[in-house]
Amino acid sequence: MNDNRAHTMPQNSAPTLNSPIARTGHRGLLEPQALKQFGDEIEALRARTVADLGERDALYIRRIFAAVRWTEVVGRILLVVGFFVPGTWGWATWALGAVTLGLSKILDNMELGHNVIHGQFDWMGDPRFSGKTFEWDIAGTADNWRKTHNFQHHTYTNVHSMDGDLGYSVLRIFPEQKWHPAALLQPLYAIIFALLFQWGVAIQDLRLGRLLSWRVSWRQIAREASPVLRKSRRQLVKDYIVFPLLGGPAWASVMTGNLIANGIRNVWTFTVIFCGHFTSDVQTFSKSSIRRETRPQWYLRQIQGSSNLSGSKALHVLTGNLSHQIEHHLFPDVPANRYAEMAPVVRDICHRYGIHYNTGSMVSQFSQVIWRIVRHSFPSSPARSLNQGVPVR
Amino acid sequence: MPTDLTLIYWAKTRAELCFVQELRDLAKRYSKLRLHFVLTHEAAQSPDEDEGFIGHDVLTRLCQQSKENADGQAAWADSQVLACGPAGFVEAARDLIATKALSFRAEGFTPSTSVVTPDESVAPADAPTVHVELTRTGRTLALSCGTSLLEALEAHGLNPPSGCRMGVCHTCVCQRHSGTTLDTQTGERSTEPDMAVRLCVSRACTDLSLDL
Repeated sequence: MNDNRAHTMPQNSAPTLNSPIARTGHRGLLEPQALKQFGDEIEALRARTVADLGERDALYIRRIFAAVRWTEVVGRILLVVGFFVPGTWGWATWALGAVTLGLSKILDNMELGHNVIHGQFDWMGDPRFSGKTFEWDIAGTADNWRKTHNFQHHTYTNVHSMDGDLGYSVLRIFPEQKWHPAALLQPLYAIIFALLFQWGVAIQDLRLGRLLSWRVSWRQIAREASPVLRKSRRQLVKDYIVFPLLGGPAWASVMTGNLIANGIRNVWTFTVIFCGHFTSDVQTFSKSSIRRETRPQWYLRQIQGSSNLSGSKALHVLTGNLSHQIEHHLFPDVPANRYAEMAPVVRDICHRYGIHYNTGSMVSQFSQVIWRIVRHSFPSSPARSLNQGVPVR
Repeated sequence: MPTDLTLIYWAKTRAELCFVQELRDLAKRYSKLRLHFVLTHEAAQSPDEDEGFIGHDVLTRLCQQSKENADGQAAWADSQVLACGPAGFVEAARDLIATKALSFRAEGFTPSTSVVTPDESVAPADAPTVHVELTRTGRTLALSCGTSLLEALEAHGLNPPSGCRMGVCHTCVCQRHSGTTLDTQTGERSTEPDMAVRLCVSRACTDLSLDL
């Protein structure tokens, strides 16, 4: 369609020695001219990709939709069958059922739900994949997610006191966050938070901290909480009453299987999401640094505030392509199945403009996250002020 | 299938073709259906593919394959022809086919000529206005084409849901039932009915009907 812009972009505008790059802190990293060129190259990549969207992408998301449904059916049947099979085989069948159901919930929440809710497939005009109305198999409501994630987290990525995902008001993972003696126990909170992650996300927008500072009444919280409570009740009734009853005598194995499946999904999504923004080299930003931010600066902040996971195709699908966190933050509404193709181009652009492209294996990236959680449970202070760039490791 | 049918499907590249397998299955099932994919920016490879823009030669070749008796007449002389595509394509098809075919009907995708061209040099206050119908509230407003739809609606005291105001978060997305809007980020216009529009990065080009 309109990919003519893409072809007129400078393809090899590599900065020379006296080049546009002046390393004077993150906002001044690129001279205005280079910054604009960088922004144009990012936008050209987007235009090229969007012009090519079509049947392949529609087929992909329909297949993911089918995979979610089939793994759910198979997982739930195995949980019941496991009860009737005697001995070790019964246990193995039950465990396989729990893992399959967990897999179904992971696919539903990440590759299907997260991506569809971003509006990535709005162009299909298919009501099943409409970002405005999609609802998912998790305690949090899609409406809350659209606000805390699509709007706040994606617009104000890694900006202190604006991006609620920075520690989720539970963990101190950057030295710029205020230390409190309670943080000493945060490695423990982190484990509980990971196990109950869907509930943490569900209540994120209620900002219960407001109760402690008397800024809001219980009555007000109760009013705001009513959609979340309705959704939570629905989820609890579904997984812990309706399906166990359908299991008849196998009700207990169905119930525990559902609990395990939800737990698997919780720990996995926690891990993936924390790898996306809390590795060693990611930068965070102060509220004042994004005043008068231009579009190219916004792109730059998205890259500097995100980190990727390298790995197999299976890893990419299971993370909902959040393994391509950088690409997702540059292009949150481009279908996620395209990120793998866009990644080498983004990486090349970053290389040419001297921007750090943060990627690594899941083991390495998550170790860095764990280190942050442990390190900043103790008092720490930023190495330099935020405007100067890289925070303390 | 009671009668002969030839489907000629043009696209730039093979990757842009939709429902290829479904169409091939249909062609296999119905001997009276003849299927041709024509690519303008790639070379033909399989027997049901051809290459090049629409023209007398390619049409004659593809239509004659489907007719045993080509006796000097245009190959499509006794055919009813339906054409669908961008305005340029439809016009080319009309010039080639309309006078000789039994009938010719066409549908073009390009927006009507009454479209307002948003001009960056014009101050928002001087920009033309269009009528925007809000179907949920039943109101009709005269909105400026010089600002985003979100700002124009807000200028009228409305408060539609919005978030990032930069086209990222999709909070302000709403259905456009009819009319043409301009995506200010890509410079692309869109006329397709009942599609999702991001109000914060779209401007009105014609009278609109929005699900607000």
